[in-house]
Amino acid sequence: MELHNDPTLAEEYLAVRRELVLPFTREEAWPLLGDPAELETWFADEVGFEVEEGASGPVRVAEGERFAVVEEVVEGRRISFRWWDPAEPDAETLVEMTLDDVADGTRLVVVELPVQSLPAAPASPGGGPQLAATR
Amino acid sequence: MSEQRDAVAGAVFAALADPTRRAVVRRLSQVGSATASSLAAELPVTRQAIAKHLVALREAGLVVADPVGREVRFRLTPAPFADAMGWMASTGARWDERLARLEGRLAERATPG
Repeated sequence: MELHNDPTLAEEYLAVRRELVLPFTREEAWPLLGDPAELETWFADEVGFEVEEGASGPVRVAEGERFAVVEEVVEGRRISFRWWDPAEPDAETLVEMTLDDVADGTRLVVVELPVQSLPAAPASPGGGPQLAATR
Repeated sequence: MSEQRDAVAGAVFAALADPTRRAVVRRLSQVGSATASSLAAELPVTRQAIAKHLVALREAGLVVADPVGREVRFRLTPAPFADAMGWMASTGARWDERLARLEGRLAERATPG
């Protein structure tokens, strides 16, 4: 199951979910997620990982530096990664960003939730595509 | 600063990943305190299952047990829930900022000239 499509998500996992409709086709919008340089224009100040499954690296955000491991990349559609503050590795969260086709463009849905709240969360990098299928 | 809070929030989320535990928490939030037997009477699960979930909730620091006479009454400890809600509020606010930045950038791009 894809996290962003789960209507019971907030109830089940107490996840943070946000969305924004982009005035582009999905293909045009993809670089905003799939290109680290584009991610640096809105998501974080510095993105030190490649958008490839299993890739990892630091991410600098306003609150400080975090470390991320890419879990899943579906070209043109979705990226998900786990990230955490190195000072607090137990507070690891999963971020999933998905693009959906909608009538007036492309909807970006972001979901973030603590990894511990997933019933069968994989603990190792490259736990990958099955992540969204947990439950 | 917020890291400790995030870790506590993670424990809360883990404990609440189970629907029965959520039902127990909801019930305790309504009645204040209850015994395992009274919870089992009100929820569609056995007393044994309730007892198991109460152990998990106690271990996560979400519930405390008070011996009252010959029975044990369980009640919620509010602080961890406040931490979890705090995590959700601050994480949500960060995404609001990021998406506002993205929106601003798209507006710039769409401006003619």
